[in-house]
Amino acid sequence: MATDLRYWIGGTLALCLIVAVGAVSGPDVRFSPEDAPHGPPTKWGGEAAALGAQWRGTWKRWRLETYRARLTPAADSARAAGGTAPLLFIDGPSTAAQRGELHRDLGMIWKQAAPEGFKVAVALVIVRDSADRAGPDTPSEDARDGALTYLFPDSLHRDMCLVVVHESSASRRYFQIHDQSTMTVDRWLSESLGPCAFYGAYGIPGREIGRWLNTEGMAYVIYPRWWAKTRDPWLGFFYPSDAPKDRPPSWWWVSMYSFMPWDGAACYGGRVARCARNVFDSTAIADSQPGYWDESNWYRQQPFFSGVTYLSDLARDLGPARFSAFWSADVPMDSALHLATGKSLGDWTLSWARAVGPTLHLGPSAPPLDVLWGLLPALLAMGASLWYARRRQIG
Amino acid sequence: MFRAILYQQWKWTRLIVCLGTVAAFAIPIFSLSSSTAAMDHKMAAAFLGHVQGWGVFYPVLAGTLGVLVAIALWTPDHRGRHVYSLALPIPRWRYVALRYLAGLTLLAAPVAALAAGALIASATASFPVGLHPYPVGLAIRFTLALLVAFTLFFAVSSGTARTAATILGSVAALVVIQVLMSAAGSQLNILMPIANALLTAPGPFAIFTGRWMLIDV
Amino acid sequence: MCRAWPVAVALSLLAAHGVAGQTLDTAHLHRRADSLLVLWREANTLGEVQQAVRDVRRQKSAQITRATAALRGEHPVQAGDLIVIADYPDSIPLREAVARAWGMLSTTYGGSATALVAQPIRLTVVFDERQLVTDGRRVPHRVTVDELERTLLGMTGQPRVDARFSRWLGNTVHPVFDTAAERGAVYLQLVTAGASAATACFQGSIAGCTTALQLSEDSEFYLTVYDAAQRRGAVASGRTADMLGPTERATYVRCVDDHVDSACVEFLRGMPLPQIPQPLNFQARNLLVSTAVQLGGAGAYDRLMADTSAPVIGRLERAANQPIDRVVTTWRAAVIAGRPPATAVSPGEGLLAVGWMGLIAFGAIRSTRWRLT
Repeated sequence: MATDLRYWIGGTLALCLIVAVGAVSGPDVRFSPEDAPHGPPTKWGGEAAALGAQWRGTWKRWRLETYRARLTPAADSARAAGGTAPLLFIDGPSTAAQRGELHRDLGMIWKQAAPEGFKVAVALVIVRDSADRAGPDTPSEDARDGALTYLFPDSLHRDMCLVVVHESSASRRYFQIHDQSTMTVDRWLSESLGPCAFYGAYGIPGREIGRWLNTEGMAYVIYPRWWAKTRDPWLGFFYPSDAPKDRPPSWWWVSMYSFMPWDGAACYGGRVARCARNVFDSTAIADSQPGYWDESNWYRQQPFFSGVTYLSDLARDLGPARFSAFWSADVPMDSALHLATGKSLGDWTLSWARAVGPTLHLGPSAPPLDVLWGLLPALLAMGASLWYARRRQIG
Repeated sequence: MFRAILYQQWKWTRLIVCLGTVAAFAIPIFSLSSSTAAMDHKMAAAFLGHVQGWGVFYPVLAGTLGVLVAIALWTPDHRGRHVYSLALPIPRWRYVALRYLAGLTLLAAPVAALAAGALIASATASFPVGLHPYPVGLAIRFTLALLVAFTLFFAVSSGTARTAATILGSVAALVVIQVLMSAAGSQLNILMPIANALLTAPGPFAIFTGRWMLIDV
Repeated sequence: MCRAWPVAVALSLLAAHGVAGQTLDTAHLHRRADSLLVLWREANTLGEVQQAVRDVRRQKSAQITRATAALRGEHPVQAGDLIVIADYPDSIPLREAVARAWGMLSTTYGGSATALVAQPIRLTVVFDERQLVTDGRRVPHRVTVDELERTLLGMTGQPRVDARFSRWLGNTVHPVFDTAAERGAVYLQLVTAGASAATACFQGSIAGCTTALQLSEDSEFYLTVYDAAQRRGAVASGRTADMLGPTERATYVRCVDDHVDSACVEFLRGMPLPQIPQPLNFQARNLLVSTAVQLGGAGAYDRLMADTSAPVIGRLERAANQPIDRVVTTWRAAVIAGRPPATAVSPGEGLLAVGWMGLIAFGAIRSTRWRLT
């Protein structure tokens, strides 16, 4: 090998080695006192905080049981009358006209959702701001206190699913500004019904389905929409409308990674097994049916775009009879879905996800067509260059 | 004949090839230097954004290497008015083909360096559960992008100086026209549609765009 | 029939037991909640007492530190009530920065400044970026006076303001550093706000300034600050259609695409107040507060914060000891006078450009392409 070649190769390898060694030695960690956390609360301050949390939990539970006790007789009568609409109770100021309107809207929603009447009574309680305060000298509210809350049927109360809706921008628009646009009210009411809509239409879920719901399944039943003819196109997450579905812009990816778990992202990348794992993890299933749930934390990370309509979309896909069979199945959720749809959980979930969601290209590989469109003109240009060289041959 | 051509081209392009090799080795290593398994989900998402940012350097390096090496291979011929190559006792098309293959051989070094860097970085870094390295996929894509860039610009450079001047002149003219139109207050954009046509499928440079993720889900 | 009634009695007894069970449940929960509340109140009172004792202890410790810093050889630098302790005080422009910082604090906050500086500030001068610091705020040894002054003011913080004033102002009251730059920035806001009230203010209407600054604390300010076209612009800039659900999107489209003003108003009503684009931001209002405090002289800040239930207009008038029109007029005059100069190329930048041109030309001329030797 020529001497100069050895020097060049040696120099290049030496530089590579320097780079490797330099990158391996990690960055210095600097401690800056202003980063230190504030001092701990005092001993009694900590005790007060713990007692405050316990009190809030107990007080909230008392209010829920009070509403349930109050509405049980009405629920029995409503079931006897055919169960044509969820019960409504407004705790706080409202006019008779507003109550009548909301009753009528709930009836119209229920006529589409469960034309045969409810199997489990559904009661919707709207708590206005003025009725929501515990009074002076009580622990201050927590973020969870205002969340939508659901109390599911239990051994003592097998026939009612209770929803408690606290004052929100949607309810304020209705009660104060009289925003009565039908779409707004319809969506507000049906989204508030949440999982209780499924209980009302299809009854108490089978043991295994209930266990799945109690673990991770609630995120999939939040927006009941099975009576709508088509699927809701809104992804529940920002996606630029001018970007093609298989080429999201670079800046979108980091938000997407934060928004959903790795298995969810992998599902949109076409990995069937991870689609299934994202919906149903057999290693971590609760022991019992759901008793109580609130929506305070579900939005932090959702399993899929529009994951909130997953079970609604399944219900629309299967129709009432087959979905009822799925809902009341006593086999694990993935098996129940396989029996109902004829497809594996992963396959059905992937086709559901791809129907409105983006197609993600994960990893560094380029789409095959991009490779083709790049190589083809390059090779054509090279061919032209060779042909031109041949033409210019003299002799 | 091939060895002679290879050695000659090495002398013309050794600086570009060596610097490119070091850069190709360094980029994957630096991109993962802050990786650790002890990251919560949000931090891991931000880390993926960081890796995505580093990913811009791969297509830039592939394009730059391909263009510079292709141009450097033909510059001496243009300067010497092809007298030397025309005097050689082989068909001209075969001579062009040998030059092309020699150029590809030289570019194997940065490709190998990138593959080595990606493998070393993947082996030495630790990642949060759920993320995986793709060193081989990255190296393959880099190779293809380099191949596209080098082949296209080799073909352009192998033509006459007039051909190269026509192509570059056309690009420059488009840019000047756009600038003048913008300065005159026109809303018409002629560059963006052309750029989109070239950089997105079915354009020839689509392979350069998109994400170049050494680590992903 | 005779056989049915014992069953009916049994069923109704069971139902009654169930109801009684439910009543017992809720009564039990209520009793438990009441007991917890009593315990919480006791613990809360004791917690407040403990916190007060802790605060007193902290204050005493700060007083001792202040009194003994010099004796312990820590070379404290003091201006007014502000004490700063640095390990190498002579290697940075500390005296000047401390004096300026105290001047700024006392001018802005008056008597409330003392509480901010109860605890002496500790600085660690670093001579190397990699130096590990475990005590005090790190400060590079090449720090300028301005940077050091801002560091000190950042460490002292600002006094808390009540929720009502904070809602109007957008933050706590900040000292105004570079008055010319602040005025220039507010001038630009007035000119580029795209709000009819801001335009009127710029053209000389004090009522327009009052509206643009939202001194009336109106939650539907967009009805007076903006006209219909500007409301449409506010909706379009406040939200993008892709981020909206179907119902909101319908209203958005009616507003932005169909130019229906009532739809714009409806949309703005549904947005949280802090997210609605405002014509003039915190910087402009902070400058107004600063103007009022300067007009009011000694005790102005204390008067400003005295009555937290009073409207903002009344508080500014009390602080300035002037009617609000006078305060706003002074503010406007200062903003107009602070018009930023047109962009000009500095001599240094010009020389740099010429220098680079010369260097590149030299390289081109010396190219082997032109030279025979």
